[in-house]
Amino acid sequence: MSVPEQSKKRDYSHYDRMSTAELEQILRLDFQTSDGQASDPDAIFYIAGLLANRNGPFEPDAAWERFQTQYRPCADGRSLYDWDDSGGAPAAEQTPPGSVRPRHGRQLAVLAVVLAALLLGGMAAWPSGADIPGQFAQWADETFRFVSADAGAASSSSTDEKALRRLRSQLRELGMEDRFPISYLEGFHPGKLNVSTLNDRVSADVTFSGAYRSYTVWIDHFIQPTDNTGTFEKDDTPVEAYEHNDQTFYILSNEDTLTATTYNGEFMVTVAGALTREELKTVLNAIPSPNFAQYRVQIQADLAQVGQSLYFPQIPEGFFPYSCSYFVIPPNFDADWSESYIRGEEYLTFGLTIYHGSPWAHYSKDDGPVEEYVYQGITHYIFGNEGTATAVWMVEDTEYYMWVTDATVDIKQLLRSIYASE
Amino acid sequence: MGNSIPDEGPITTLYQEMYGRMIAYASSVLGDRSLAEEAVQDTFCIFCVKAETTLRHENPQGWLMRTLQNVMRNMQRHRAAASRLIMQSLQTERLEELLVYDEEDVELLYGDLAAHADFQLLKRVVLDGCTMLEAAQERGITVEACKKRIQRLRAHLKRKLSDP
Repeated sequence: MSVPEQSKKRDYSHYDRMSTAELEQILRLDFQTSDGQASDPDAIFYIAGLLANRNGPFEPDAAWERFQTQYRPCADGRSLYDWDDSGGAPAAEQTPPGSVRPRHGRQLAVLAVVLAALLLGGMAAWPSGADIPGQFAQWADETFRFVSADAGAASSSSTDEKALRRLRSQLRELGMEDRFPISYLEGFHPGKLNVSTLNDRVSADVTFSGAYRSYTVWIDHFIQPTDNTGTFEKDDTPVEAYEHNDQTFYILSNEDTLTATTYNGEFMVTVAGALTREELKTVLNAIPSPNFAQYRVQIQADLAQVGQSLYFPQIPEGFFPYSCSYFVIPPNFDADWSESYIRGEEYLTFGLTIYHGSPWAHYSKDDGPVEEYVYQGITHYIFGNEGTATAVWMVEDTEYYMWVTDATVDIKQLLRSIYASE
Repeated sequence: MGNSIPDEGPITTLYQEMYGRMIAYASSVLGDRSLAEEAVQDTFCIFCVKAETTLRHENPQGWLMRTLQNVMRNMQRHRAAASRLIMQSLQTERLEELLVYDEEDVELLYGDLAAHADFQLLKRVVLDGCTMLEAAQERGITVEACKKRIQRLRAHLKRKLSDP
């Protein structure tokens, strides 16, 4: 049977120009989204065919022979890996969608569209990688505070701040920055980054030292998925599964040491030390979402389909990536993507929506004027919302948006930096 | 031998058409070509058993890709759960006591040896990343027997480890 008729109407040839690694990443992302429904199935089919041509030949005749002689004889309608005693074909994993990340007035618009789509029946939006404002606000009020960039800070704090920036720069070169906590516990000081290159992984660790205690953050980047990530010694305290920013951390106890670890098949992040459980969770709460790279690849692919590229502002110094989101919203399958950065208690968000129908977003504003800032032939609408500066503009059918709470950040300069990167 | 397929021709054609794509997809996700092939073969097994409906599906290619995803999720989920079970068993002080089957099965003349052998089999598949076919061939058994032995041991360990 030939490729489904609908795929003939859309041109997927832009995928031909992507590398094999990028295409495989798109397939992995498709698999990781809930039930894989967030992606374009025809595009996935095309990409799989492209990879089959590149990586083949696969000798289907020999595979068919193995199928007939080794696998088919024991076929009973259940997966080989369905090891439960209950019967039935493998059901789709019911991964609950991530919580929606509301953002100013746009938050209600996104939520309304999602709910409307669900009520229409037969379709679902698959948001992922999101936080709700309440969680952010609670986190900001927690006992530990971010390291401040204030000029009047004590010299030790200033030294630690430089050390942290240096650490992040080193981690960025290793591709690990977005796995590392963006801040550390009050009363502790960061040490140097230790990096080891092993046969199966690159390992980096930093120890934070306090008066009589310390804790260490390890990041292991595995070359290939493995089941041999090591064994942790533990006492008989039950293991706790702690969810944060799309990751599940397993918290283990071993006498006076607590360890939290998570592994996604490529990266393993571990935090361990003489901490209280609350302190350990505070450290975990500072670890950004791991989905930055994946979502960027996805939105770049979406933009390529409409003949556009992803341009990005120059993020001001001191802002660290914290969370990101990617939505595909029916019925038109509009793609919405955004990244949020944080510096102290200020945040900056940059995002876009690719519309395949009429624009639907709306933004909250105060009673101040809307300024039309024309730059590079594009009109950018700038307005305020109780201390937050927002900029919105259209490029063909793509709506871009940016907002920043930090009054010291010049939003026009941020806008200009986007075009400087083109 | 096995289940009769009412429409051998269309099945074969679909297999030839989809095998490469499904291998490419599964390899991207699993990062292992052998496991990818096993997931694809497993998917076609399910397709064949349900051939009366799947061949009449409006989009059998889409059905295969979706089922492949579900098979891989099953694979990852059950392997991860079994890995935890193995770790739990190894960390207990009564491992030797655990590896003795209780049931009076006339086919199991040496219950303890059978449980030990099944434990090695489970470790081979779950910890060494072996496919069920590879593990079965190493032991001169069928894939079906491999699956049954894993199921038996798994149920036994879960029951034993949940006892106080």
